[in-house]
Amino acid sequence: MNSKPSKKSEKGKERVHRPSRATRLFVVWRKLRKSTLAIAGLCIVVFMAMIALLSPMIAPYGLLPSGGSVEPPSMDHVFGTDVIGRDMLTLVMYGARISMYVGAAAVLVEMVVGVGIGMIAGYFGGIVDEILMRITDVVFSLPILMMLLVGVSMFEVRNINTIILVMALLEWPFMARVVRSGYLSLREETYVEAAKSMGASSWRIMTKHILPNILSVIIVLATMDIPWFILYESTLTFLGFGDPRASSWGILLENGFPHMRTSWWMITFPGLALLITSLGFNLLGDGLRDALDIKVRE
Amino acid sequence: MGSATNEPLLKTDELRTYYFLAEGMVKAVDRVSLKINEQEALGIVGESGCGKSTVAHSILRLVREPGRIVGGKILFEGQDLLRMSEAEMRKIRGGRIAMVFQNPTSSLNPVFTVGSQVGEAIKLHQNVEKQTVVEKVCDILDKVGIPSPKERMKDYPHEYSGGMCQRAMIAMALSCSPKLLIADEPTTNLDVTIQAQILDLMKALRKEFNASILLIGHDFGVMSELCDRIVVMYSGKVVESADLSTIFRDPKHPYTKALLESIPSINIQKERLHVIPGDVPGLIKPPLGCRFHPRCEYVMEECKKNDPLLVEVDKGHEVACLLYHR
Repeated sequence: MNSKPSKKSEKGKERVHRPSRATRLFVVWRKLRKSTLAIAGLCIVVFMAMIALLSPMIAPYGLLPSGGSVEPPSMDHVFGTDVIGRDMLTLVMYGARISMYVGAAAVLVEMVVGVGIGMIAGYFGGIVDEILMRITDVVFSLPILMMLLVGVSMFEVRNINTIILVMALLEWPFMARVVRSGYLSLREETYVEAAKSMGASSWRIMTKHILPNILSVIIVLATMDIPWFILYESTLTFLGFGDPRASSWGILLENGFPHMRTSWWMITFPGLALLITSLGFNLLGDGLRDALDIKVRE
Repeated sequence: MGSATNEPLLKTDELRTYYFLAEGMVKAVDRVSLKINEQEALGIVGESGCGKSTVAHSILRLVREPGRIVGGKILFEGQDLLRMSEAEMRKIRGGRIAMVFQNPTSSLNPVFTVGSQVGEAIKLHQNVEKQTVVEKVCDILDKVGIPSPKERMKDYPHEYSGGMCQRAMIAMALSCSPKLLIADEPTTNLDVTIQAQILDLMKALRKEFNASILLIGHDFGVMSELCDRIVVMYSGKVVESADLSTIFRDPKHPYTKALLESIPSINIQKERLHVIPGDVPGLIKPPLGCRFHPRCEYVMEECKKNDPLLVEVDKGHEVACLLYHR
């Protein structure tokens, strides 16, 4: 008898507690917040994204040559100027636009291809898996820089989008493999069988029932791949295979390289921007890996 | 039972499902003929590996690789399920025949709320608006005894207990009012009190939904709670089939007898519990003749050569044993 009121109060307590029940996203955020490095990464990424978005508004100068010449950093030009007198800070800010776009767009294409192929291979298995995985192996074994140069050279008009496409079409195999292995194990889960027994189609099971279960892995991989794409694009541009009209950080490095001995600021600042952005994405990716893993407790 | 129509709801005819393993072929279901009448509850009993789950999976055509249905017929409402296209089959699954699985906690997808998963079944089979789906989910969760369903439907499976997960699974299975509910050892992973609750629930819902039930298990106690008729399987074959009281009162097949003797009883004082000697035979090379003969108390010389057919010894009571063949 005595236990009855206490049971009731327990129930009431649960009710009160209920509205503040954490959603999954909130739990992820709470876990992420605990890691200083992850938060630092997130800040860097958000900061760079803001700069990329707002550069036309917040850049101190325009992109046209001022008629001046190369100047070291000063109060007027914090990052100095380049050989035709353009403000380096402005150039780095506009460069963020291109580089962030490259990273985001390439990762999207990579995800569509990698997740698509990995999903189909892993879910259906058998001969489909065999064929798709051998293709994946071939692409995986290609030396990436060589193939980037070859791939980019194949296009008559070399613009930033063709470069993105080539990069993404060379980078997807790793993601495909990881996604495949995820599907390979998750398709054996009882809830997949239950979904089948409820009449869900293969496509629906792949995209709606299994995909959310490995979304965390995909997000982490994608976050870690973004800096690679930014670096690849810069490398290509540095080697003279970039889009000459897209003033990415790579172009700035290429332009500054011949003057490295006399004007250090021309490559130091774009280089630093590149370094910090890569670092930011890597830190964020690492943090997300822990935060998104349900098995890692708070 | 009762006075059902002549045409059974589901009838398997010489169903054969084999597994093609590297080591050889396993006849997991070997010429199994069953029938389930409208509103009847049929129980399939047998040891692990006797093919009872494979029968269930075959009915929904969800046998996993390397298994394949190699022959026979599965007639459901007069139509052969084995001749249907995959799209037609999808309409049957969940809509006309639904299944409840053994492991309730892993049958629910961890990343979705329980409500959305129950709703998924409704969305797949009924063309209704979003708001109606929510109402229906709420309604069905209430029927299976989930407390304050409006709030609990927003919970994730890990916030449910095992018994509640199974209730939710039953809700999902019943959400489209199927004609046949297949329950593959639905209470095996639950403790005894919850087991009793789930069985009571299934009993109540069976009346409410007018569904037939195919209950699969190894526990005669569970079977007797719910079933009208029992089919005993051994090594991929049906060895005995009779209604519930007959099985308990007058088991014919030595295997059935042995199974029933293995049930601990509080009334009879015994030194040791009866066990059936030996092990389930390897199905790649099953024993010749009657598959039960190496473990049978009543084994005769001809049992080692001849595979007994299922013969009717009494009205509605069939046995596959040479003892009854004359």
